Amino acid sequence: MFDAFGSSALLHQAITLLCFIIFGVALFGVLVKKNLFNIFLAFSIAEAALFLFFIGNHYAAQLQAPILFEGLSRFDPAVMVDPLPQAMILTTIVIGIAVLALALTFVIRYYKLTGHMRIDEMDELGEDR
Amino acid sequence: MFHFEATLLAHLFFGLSLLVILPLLRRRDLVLHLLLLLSLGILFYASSLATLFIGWEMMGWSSYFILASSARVATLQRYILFNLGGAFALLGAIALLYGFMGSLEYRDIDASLLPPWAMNAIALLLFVAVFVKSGIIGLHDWVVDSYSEATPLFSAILSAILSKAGIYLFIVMFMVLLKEGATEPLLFEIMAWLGVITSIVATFKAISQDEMRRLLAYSSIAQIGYIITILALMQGFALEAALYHTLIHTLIKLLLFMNIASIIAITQKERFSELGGMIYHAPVLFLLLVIGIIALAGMPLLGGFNSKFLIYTALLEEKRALLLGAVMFSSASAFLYCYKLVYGIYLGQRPQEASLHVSPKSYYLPQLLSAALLVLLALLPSLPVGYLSVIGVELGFAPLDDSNLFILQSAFGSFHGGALMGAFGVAFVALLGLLQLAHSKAKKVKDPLDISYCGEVPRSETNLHFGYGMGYELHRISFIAPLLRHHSRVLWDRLSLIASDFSALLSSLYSLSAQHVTLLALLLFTLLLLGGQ
Amino acid sequence: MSLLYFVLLPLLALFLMPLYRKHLHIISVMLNLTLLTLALTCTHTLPMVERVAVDLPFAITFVLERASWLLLTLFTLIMSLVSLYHLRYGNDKALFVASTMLGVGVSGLILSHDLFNIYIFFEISSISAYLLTALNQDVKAYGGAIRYMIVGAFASLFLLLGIMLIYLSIGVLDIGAIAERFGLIEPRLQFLILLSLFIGFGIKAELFGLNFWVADIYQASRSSVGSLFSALLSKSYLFVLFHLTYLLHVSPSQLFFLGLIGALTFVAAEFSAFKSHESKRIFAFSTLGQIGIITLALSYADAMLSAAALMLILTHAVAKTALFLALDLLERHFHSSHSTIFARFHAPFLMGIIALAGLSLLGIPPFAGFVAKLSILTGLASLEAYGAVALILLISLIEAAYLFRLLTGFRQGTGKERLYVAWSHKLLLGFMVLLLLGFGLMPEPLLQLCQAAAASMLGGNHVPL
Repeated sequence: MFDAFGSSALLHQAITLLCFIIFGVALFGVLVKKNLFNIFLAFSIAEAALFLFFIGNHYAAQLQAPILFEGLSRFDPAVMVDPLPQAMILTTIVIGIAVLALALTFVIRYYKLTGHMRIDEMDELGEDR
Repeated sequence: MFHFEATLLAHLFFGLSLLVILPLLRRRDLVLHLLLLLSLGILFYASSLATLFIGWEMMGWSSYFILASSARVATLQRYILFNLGGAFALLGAIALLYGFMGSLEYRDIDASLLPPWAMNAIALLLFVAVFVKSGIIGLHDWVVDSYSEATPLFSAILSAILSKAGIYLFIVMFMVLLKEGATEPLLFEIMAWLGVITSIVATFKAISQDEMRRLLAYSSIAQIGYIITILALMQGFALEAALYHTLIHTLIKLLLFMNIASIIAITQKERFSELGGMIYHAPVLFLLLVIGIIALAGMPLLGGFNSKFLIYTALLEEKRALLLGAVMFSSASAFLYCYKLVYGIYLGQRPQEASLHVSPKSYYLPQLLSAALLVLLALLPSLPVGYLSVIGVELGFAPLDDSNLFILQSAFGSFHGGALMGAFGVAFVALLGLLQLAHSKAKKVKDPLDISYCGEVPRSETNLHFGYGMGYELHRISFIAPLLRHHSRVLWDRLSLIASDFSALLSSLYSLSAQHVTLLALLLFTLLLLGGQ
Repeated sequence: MSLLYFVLLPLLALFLMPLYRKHLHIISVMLNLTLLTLALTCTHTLPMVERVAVDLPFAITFVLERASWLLLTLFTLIMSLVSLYHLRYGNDKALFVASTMLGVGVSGLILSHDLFNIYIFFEISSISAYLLTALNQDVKAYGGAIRYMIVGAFASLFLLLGIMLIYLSIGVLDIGAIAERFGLIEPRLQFLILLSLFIGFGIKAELFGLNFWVADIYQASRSSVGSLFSALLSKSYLFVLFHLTYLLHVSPSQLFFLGLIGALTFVAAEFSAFKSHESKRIFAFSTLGQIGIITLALSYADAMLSAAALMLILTHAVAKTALFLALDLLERHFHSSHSTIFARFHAPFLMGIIALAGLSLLGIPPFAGFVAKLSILTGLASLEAYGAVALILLISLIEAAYLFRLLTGFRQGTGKERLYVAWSHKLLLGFMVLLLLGFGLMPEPLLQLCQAAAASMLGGNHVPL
């Protein structure tokens, strides 16, 4: 399935496998855990698994990090790894942190109002409420 | 190509609605009444199916909001659901037609291009729309409740005008736009029988009603049933008979509903069992009602006979003896509820402790107008024929003879309106005179309860007049009782129950917790991944 | 004129917030009206392409063509109307931040021409939607927001996965470039990518199977926020979903699947609303129903039907906004949104607005909703999709049942409270209903715009790099 990703195929497959195991564990947490804090933690883990998967699959042992310094003045795919995924992941991490912070704020506020943070006890919405 | 939007048919129907609506405008809900009138204008003068549908739907919702001021919620739900159901069937037919014609303009519609299956499907959808509006049996569940729960004035509009919209739709669609279409003749045969069965059932239901407006509502259903039957023949004579009956029925129902509105205004009572003896209080209303019911029964002497005559002869002309028999049976049974109307309200004993009010003067105007027209039509039965036959010619049928206004011509002969009315008048006066002579010694009963020679002494609250309880005996007749017992409402109620069960099931999905929602999404993902491609 | 204004101006307004802390409601109106004017001035220069590039792969590309222009104009119009509505209620910092960010998010979503930016704007609009849900700061609001965040985070995981798989396999993110090279991907991976994107966008676009959270969220948030959710948020995701669907040339069977999902969305939502007594839930279900019809119509990838679907998006947005704003007035008065409040007040103008907007929502003439519905039905009929026609007509009866049950309250009951409606609100709501009536009576100009938009949406309008 993923053999179209170029060289370092074995490494990439290993990373992919590992990441999807982590992703699966995280999804399990999302679906099974009852504590709201744990659920959002599981989402963070799932996100991290995706980040690892993406970055890992762009890692190539013989290439340099895409940082411009002396001797390296322009982006050259023959010399350095693709810089775009790293930029993407950095942005996504920032977004992820923002969402997590917001979620935890809501959980804290919710806890202050109701005294619990269990998802199976959330019953404030629905018909005739 | 014809230019249908300005046809005389539209003039006829719109004229009829003006006749009914204008005298009735009240300050309250004036806007809604005007909207209703506007919608009728749009409906009758449309030149494309889209415009026709706009008129049809506007008629539905504006009348709904007028009705909503007085009716119960369940009645309103039925009213809007049946009417919208009919409207959506019409919309389906329009969409189907568009699929083949690529246009909604009347002039672009050429039904000869339709394959038979499409034509039949369109015809069935249109039947649903027409039948709902006309209250054909099975689809009539909304009619009676809404007539009896509307304000007394609005029931007149509902019965006299809005019930005719279905007839107009039928004529426009089947006799003008889809004339060339290859509709299965069996469909019209079914429609003819549905019409007559409706009229028979509705007639018996009318007889057994205790509420005045429910009786008239069933009577309306029965009368529209005749019109549907006769239209289903798709013949020139039949069309004119149908239009004539539409005209007469509008006048009659305007008269009767306004009459009952007056009675309700005077007594604040709706039921026969609470009424009686009103002749002493309102003799003019009594006379007007008598004119109305003579016409309603289709007896000679008044306009009602003309249209019945045309209907019978048209059925004879088409050699539909069975249909004719059924129509006559229903028509004869209608005498019974006519009798109940006049006796239950005006004759017999007056109930005790009744405080009476005064009927608004404005209620008399429509009654006098329609009574006068009914008498005029009795004298000059061919008066509208010229007009109606122009419509028939426009729709491609042979004209009727209207050379002598006094003589109504039909395929099977004719009658002279003036002479007939004169003869019946003379006979009636002679009979009345003879009766008077024969019973000249009869003394007037001072006390309405003085019937002690019967062997029982009624108490003062016992209601003794003949109209009271009339129709209950029908429940003992073996072949009529099931008709009265069974009601299509059972079916519709069950349907609504199923819908609400289904609704409860589905809405529980929408109260799932976030985890279950994500779980379902993940399941969907997995299922699609495994089974998809 | 730059397309970046639609994103940068609101962001600037957010940055400069400390300068006008006390007048945020006025700034919001000014901002949204400016954006609306800007959107309208773009009419003659379509299609527009805007590229901010560092080096070629690091470029942000914005594209405005007929379809996205139509939606952008709609969004700025609705935002203006909603901010005008809130003008009376004074300064509200949280509302200003969240709604302005929502504007950035949805504009960015429909303007962006590369997948990663779409992801960013997807997140921005999601975050602002969470904030909007929690505006009331009570248990319901926080509970709703938490639910929303769980489902939303799940959606963004799958969207991210889809985007990553695309980049890993073909190394591009620009939609046009993806459209060109998508066929090169191995079919099974192609399917996985499409599926991930479908789950990601489908959850947010409120499609059946993925939309069981919607009613709770609408119920948790303010009614006025419901208008933003219903008119802007779900529609922008739906637009992106179908934009991608058309560009990636998905197979007919996949389009059929989308249509099926649309039909299911419609049926399930209308039936669910049938027994509901919470007016915000009812309106949420009705939104879902309309989304179902729109999805069904768009799934045929037919010029006429897509135009009709766009028309339905427009008319539904205006009608729903009017309804939600009217409901907001009621909710502020009664502190409840149970459907019985419809029978508890007397205010002829407001009742008229609700009734007429409701009729338009139902697709009853002579309102604009009818034109949209008629176009959809005739479009389906000319494709010989008679089953879909019958389904829409039958299920619309259920919709009629519950909407008319709400409206019946107006004419029934006793002891009604007289409700005062401010002139500014009357003007605003009246304007919306006039808009519906006007486009119902003279639909031609709007239909032409929708047809042009549908042509551009279906025509694979990608801009080659």
